[in-house]
Amino acid sequence: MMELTVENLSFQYNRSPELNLEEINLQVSKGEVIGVLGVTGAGKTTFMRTLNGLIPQFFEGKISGKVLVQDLDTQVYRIQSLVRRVGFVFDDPETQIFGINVKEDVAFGPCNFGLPKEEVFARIKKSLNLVGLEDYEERATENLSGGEKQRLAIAGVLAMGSEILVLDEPTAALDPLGKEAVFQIVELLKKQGMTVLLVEHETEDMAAQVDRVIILDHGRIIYRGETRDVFQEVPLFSKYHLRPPEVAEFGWRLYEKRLISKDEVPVTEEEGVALIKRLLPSMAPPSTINAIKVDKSEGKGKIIQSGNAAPQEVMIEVKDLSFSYIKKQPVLKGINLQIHQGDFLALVGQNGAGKTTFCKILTKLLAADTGKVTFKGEEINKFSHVRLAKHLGYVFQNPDHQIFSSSIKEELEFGLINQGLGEAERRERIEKVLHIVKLDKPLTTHPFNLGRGERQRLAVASILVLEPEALIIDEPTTGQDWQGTRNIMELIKDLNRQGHTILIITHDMRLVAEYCNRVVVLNKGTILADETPRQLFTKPDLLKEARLRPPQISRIVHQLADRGVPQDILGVEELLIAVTKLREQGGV
Amino acid sequence: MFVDYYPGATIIHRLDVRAKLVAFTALMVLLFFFTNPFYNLLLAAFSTFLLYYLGLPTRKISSILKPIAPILLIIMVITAFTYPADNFVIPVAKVVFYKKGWFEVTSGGVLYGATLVLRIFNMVVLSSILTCSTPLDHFLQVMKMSRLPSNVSFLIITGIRFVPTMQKKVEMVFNAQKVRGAHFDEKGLFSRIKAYIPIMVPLLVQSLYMSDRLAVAMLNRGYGAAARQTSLEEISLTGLDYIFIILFSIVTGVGIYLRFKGIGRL
Repeated sequence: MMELTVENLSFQYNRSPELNLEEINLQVSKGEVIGVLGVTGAGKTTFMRTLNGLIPQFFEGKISGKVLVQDLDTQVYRIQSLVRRVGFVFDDPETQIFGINVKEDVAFGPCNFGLPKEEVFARIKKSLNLVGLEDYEERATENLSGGEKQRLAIAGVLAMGSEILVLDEPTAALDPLGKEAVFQIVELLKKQGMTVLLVEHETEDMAAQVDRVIILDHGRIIYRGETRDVFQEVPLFSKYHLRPPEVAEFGWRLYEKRLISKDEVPVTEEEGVALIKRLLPSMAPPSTINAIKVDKSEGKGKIIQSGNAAPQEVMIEVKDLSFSYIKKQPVLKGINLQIHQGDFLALVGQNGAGKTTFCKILTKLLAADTGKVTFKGEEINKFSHVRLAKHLGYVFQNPDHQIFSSSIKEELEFGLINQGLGEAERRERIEKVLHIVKLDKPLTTHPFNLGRGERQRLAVASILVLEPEALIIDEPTTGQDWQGTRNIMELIKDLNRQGHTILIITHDMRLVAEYCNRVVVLNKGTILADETPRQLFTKPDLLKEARLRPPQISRIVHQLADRGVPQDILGVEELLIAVTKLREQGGV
Repeated sequence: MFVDYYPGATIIHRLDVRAKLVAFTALMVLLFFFTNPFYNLLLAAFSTFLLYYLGLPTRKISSILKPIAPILLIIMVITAFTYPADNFVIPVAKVVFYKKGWFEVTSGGVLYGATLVLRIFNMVVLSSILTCSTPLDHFLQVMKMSRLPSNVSFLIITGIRFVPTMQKKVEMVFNAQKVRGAHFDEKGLFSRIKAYIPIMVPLLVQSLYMSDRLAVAMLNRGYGAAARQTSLEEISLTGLDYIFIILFSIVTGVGIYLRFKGIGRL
C-alpha cells in the first residue's frame, strides 16, 4: 500500500477564477522524502492542504479526483482523523503554538485525541528528544526563538503519531541556524523511516535532503524526477523562476562548454568539490597559488569597493553606541560605524545579535544608553520623527504591519500629509514613486488586492515617497520566492544607483555577495567585521564565529585552496574563470 | 493584579488551588467586615508575612506595590478630610482635629482612610500571592471542573497565550507608522481616534489573518477529535488542603460572630 496516492486531483477555490490544481497524480511510498518546488501561487500550499483533508473540508471549492492517505479517502474521513497520519508544519512559527509552556503545546494534539495521561507524557518526551528540545518542557513558548518554535511545532505534530510529515516552507521565517536545525531534523526523521513532503525555496538544502522532486506551476506538476535528475536540469529552473543551487549552475556552465557530461553536473556542495578536484587533478605547484588572476571587474565584482574609492561623505555616524533592554544584559556594546553616502551595506548576524535594535536606534525608535548617532553631522536626538522621515526611511519586514488605507493613493499620501505637503506636490511625488517601484496599478486599487510582492513594493514606495537620502530595509526578501527576491533586490539596487544610501538586514549571503558593497557582521552586540563581501567570505573562521554560512560557491572554494583556486572568488562566473585558467596553466 | 507564576516549594505552592481559593475568598470577606483599621492591620501583617514566606524577589514585590502607592496616598488624604465626626460611633473616632464649615478633619476619617488603604493593600498582596504561587494551568483545571465548556477554557488559554504575541504586533505597527512621521498626540476626541486608524487597521487585519491560520492549525492538531480531552495535571485535595479549608472556615465564622457582636466598628 502506498503512503499517499493522489489521482487526477483538480481543485478550484470557491472564489478563484481558475483551477488552482489541475490533474495532479502522485504516489509516495513509505520512507520517501519528496521535495516540492514552485513559485508563489504555483499551488504548492493548496496541494499540501489536500493531503490532510483541509481541502475540501475547511477550504471549500470544487474538487475532483482522489487523495488517499494510506487507505483513508481525505474526502470521506474527518480532518481530525486524518491528522493522526499526516502532520502539517506551517511556515509561520507564531500561529501554530497553543501552549503557554512547551510541554502543554506538545501535549495539545495527544490530549485532543483523549489519549491516556501516561501515553501523552511518553510522547512529549520522545518527540521533544527527536527535535532536540529535551529539557524544554517547562519553558514558556513565548520566550523561544523562531527556530525553536518551529522545532516545537514539528514535535507537536510528531507527538500525534503522524507517519507522514508535510513541511510547508518550514524555514521561511528562520535565520540560518534555525534553518540548519530544521533540516537536521528532516534528515533524522528520514533515517527513521518517516515519509516527508518538503516545500522549500532553499534549493541548495533541498538538493542534499530529498529523494524525489516535483515542480509545480499554475497548479500542475510540470516536472518530476529523482533529485539529481531534476537539479541537473538547470535551464528548467530559470524557466520556472526558481533558484538553482549555485553549484548546479556552475556545473551547467561547464556542461555547456562541453567540459563535463550532463550526468556529471553536481547538485550538492560535496559533488561540486569532488568535480573540481577531478578537473584540476594535480596539487597546484606552490608558485601558482594566488598567481592566477580573476578579473574582478567582470561578473559580480563590478560594484564600487568602499575604501578603495575616493572617500565619500559620511552620512550616518555612530559613536560608542551601547544599549540594553534589561540592565546588565547589553544588546549592543560600544558600536562605532560610519555609513557613507552611496553605500549598499548589509547588516548580517544571527537573530539576537542586535541588528534590528541597532536600526531602531538609528531611526530613533529606541534611545541609546550611551553614545551618539549623527546624521550628516547633526545628532538624531534633535530630529523629530517627522523630520527624520525625510532623510532616513525604514522599511519594515512585513508590509502588512503598515498598510492601512483602502487605496494605493491614500497609503502613499499618509507620510506626505504628515509632512504637511500640498495636494499638487503630493500627486507629483506619488506618480514619481510609483514609476520608480514599478507598481503599475490604478491609484484606487485596494492594497489587499495586491500580491505579497506588490504590497512590499507599496511599503517601500510609502517610505520612498518622502524622498529620504538613506533607506534601512529589514529583511526585504523573507518569505518570498526567487522571483520576488530578485525583483525587490533589483529595485533596491536601482535606488542605490540613483544615489540612495542603503542598509539592508538580511540572512541571505548569496544576496550579500551579489548586491552589497559592504557588509557589517554583528555578533553578540559588537561589530565582528566591516569589509567587502569578497573579503568577508575568505574568512571561514570569522564566519564560523558569527555562525554565518557563506554562499555555496565560497564554501566550495574554501575546500579547494590546495588546488590553487583563489580564495576570494565570488559567485559562479568567477569560479568558472578560475577553473578554466587553472586548467590552461596545468595544460589540461 | 495579575502576576506571573513564581515557582517554589512552599506550603502555599503545594496547596491545592481550590484550598487556596477558599482561603482567598475567606480573607477577602474578612477584609470588608471591620472598619477598624486594627483588624485590617492584623490581616496586612499576615499577608505581608506570606509574601516574604513565598520568597519572592524584592524587585517583584516592589513592582507589585509601587504602582498603587500614589493611589493609596490619595485615598488616605481624601478620606481623612471628608468624613465628619457624626459618621462614627466609638469615642476614639469622634475627635475633631480641625473644622471649618463642612470641612472637617477627624480621627475617625484618618482611621477609616487607614482601613481603606489596608484593604487595597491586602487585596493586591493576597491576589498576587495567589497568582504567584499557582500555575495558570491549575486555574484552568478549576475552570474545566466547574463544567465550563472546554471551548470556553480553550478560548481563555489561547487568549492568554497570545497576549505577548499581540503586544509585539502592536509595537511593530506603532514603529512602522512612527517612521512615516505619524503623530498620535492630536487634540480632541475625534482627531485622536483618527490618528489611531493607521494602528488599528493593520492590527485588525493581522488578527483576522492570525485567527484564520490558528483555526487551520487547531484542526491540524486534531482539535475536536475526541469527545473528552486528556487533562495533563489532575489536581487533588490532600490532608493539608482540608486542614486549610477547615481553618479558614473557622476564622471566617469567628469573623462573622465578632461582626454581629458589633466589634470592630469605628
